[in-house]
Amino acid sequence: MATVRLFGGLRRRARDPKISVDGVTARDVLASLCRDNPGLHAVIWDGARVRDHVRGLIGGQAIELGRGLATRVTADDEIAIFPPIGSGGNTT
Amino acid sequence: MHGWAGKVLDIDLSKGAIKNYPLDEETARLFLGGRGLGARLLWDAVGPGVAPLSPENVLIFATGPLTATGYQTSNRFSVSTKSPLTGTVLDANSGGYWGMQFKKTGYDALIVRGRAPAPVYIEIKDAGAKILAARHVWGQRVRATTQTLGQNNNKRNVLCIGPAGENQSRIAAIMNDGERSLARGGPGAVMGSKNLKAIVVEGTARPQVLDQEQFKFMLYEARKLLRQSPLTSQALPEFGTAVVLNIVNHIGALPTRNFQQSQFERAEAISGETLAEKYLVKNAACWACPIGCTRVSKTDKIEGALSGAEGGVEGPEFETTWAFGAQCGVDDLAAIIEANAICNDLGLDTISAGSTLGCAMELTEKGLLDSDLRFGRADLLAPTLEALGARRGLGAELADGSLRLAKKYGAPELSMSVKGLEMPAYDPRGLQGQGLLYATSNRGACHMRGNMLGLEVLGLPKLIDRFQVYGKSSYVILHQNASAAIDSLVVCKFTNLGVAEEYFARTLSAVTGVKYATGDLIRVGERVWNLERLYNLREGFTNADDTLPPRLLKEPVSDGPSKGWVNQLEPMLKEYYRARGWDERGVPRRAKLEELELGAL
Ligand code: SF4
Repeated sequence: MATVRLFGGLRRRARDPKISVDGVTARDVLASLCRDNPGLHAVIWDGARVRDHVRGLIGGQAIELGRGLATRVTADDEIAIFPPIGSGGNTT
Repeated sequence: MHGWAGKVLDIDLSKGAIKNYPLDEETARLFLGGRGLGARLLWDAVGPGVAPLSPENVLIFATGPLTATGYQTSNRFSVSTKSPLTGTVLDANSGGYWGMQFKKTGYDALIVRGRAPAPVYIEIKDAGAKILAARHVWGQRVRATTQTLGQNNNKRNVLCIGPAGENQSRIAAIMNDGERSLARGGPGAVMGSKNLKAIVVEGTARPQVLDQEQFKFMLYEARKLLRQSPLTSQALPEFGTAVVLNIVNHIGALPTRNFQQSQFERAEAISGETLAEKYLVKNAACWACPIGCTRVSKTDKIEGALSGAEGGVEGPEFETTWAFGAQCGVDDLAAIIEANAICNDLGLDTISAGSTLGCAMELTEKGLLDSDLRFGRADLLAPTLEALGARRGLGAELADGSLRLAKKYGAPELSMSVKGLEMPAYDPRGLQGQGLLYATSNRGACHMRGNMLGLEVLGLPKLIDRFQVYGKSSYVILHQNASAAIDSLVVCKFTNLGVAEEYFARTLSAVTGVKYATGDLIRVGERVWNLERLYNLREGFTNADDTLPPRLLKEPVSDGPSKGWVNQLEPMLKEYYRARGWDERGVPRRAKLEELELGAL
């Protein structure tokens, strides 16, 4: 089972910020995560695709710059999911 | 004029002389206001070789054509001067209420020259300006000064320095409306060198808008776009800027212990999520801002004079949390909130203060400096900052920033700065484009002269490979030009997360009656960028100053998702100069200057 870590407002919508989830690919993991935590579905998915600005990282690397949702996931992987973040600092 | 007030106020503190004159319309068209107008006025006012803390330096406070119109976030303003920290051109900008109120006194800009023989403050009302004795507030901290001089958010607004500015700390900020700061590059020291404690403004004149109907439509459009964007309607209001800490840490780009590592093992303890859960009291907003990114937080550590009406303080922002947190190896968020509150009250730049402490910690651990400072010593943040603001003991050395400190102890390479300005919270080894941005930023390392975080990490508007080297310069240039344009309008950069430049250009046209297409607006930014470059070249800066600390160029990241990377600056820089229309030494070519209507300079 891979480990999913949730950040920002996603934490309020799940039972735990760190969850073990089954799945062979990133798509499977996200689907099963949202099945167990239905509150996450609407903020992560837009139909069959992941919403704009929702970021998924495996081992600190962006999923979408690799094989996307088809990326294979192992039990050692940690998948981090971030909601839209609008920042860049503001001390000027 | 429409949009612009059409007048410049010019005060010479040495002579006690106050005059005003019309704003040149051509200058306004070319440079708009804020940072752009400030840079143009500074070019004429402060020639090469002027010592930044001498009476010959000036402070230029500038608003823009949109300021005080009521357009979303039209509250911001800037200060321009020659930096006492870096010796470069400097502008810093701030939100709150002061900028809007200053514009309502009927001026676009204020130039302060000379040095008063004794401490003074300036009061500006519709009827004119006065120079008044400030003996009763000299020596007071920021919160007390702001109250004493009668801060009243929508009516009377106070901008001042604290003890750090009075003591001419080269990392001193100018503060406005209590807790807002014109922070970077030491403008507070310039104000202190002029014996100028504060500027109080009280105005009633709203700027004239030429095409009211179109302006109302643009207001409506911006409101709709800001509401539609999950960034400006949810992410920023809910968690503020600090929410970015976890993702930056996760990818291995959060500088830790003076950039010795790029991941902080205790990041969660100082994250935006923890801030919201444990310390957040409420949100706050600047004037005319529907976003409201400001946090008000509270801990047991801040009481009495340090805290506001509800016992809370504004902040901390992400950069501040990083500076006193990961950069100093500190995982105590309450101590970071306290450090932020102390900096605001002393009038200090939190990024430079935290980074200088981190540098002192490494110097100490390497046996080069004899001090108690060690990574992780949260208990030493508050007393060290107090000593810094008072220039007491080691504080006297910390007060001039990390580069002067590290040089004195024989290890300038341990100052994590560019052109002497401490770097913000992104490790350029894990974000290649951000490194180019820091190296080429005209005021020294800065995340507000364009920010590659959006493209390289957050995917705004789209995600690009953060380790990609070739092709990065065009993105960096685009961001730098756009940010210079936005800083000249002046609106808050966070608006740009929902509202594209095209809307700003249409709004500017409606307000002023001068036609600006999107390209014209970006061209203003490019013009400002090139003028700032010319200023630095005139001061003797060269392409050798467009660099990063050796650690980031030579020491690969030892662990985590950025493992093995250094910043590959050289090829990016070559590409950058070419794409900017500069020669291989980074000097703008004549054709580029002519194209930007800067040929006469
Ligand atoms: S987004 Fe934040 S910094 Fe910008 S104007 Fe609004 S409250 Fe001020």
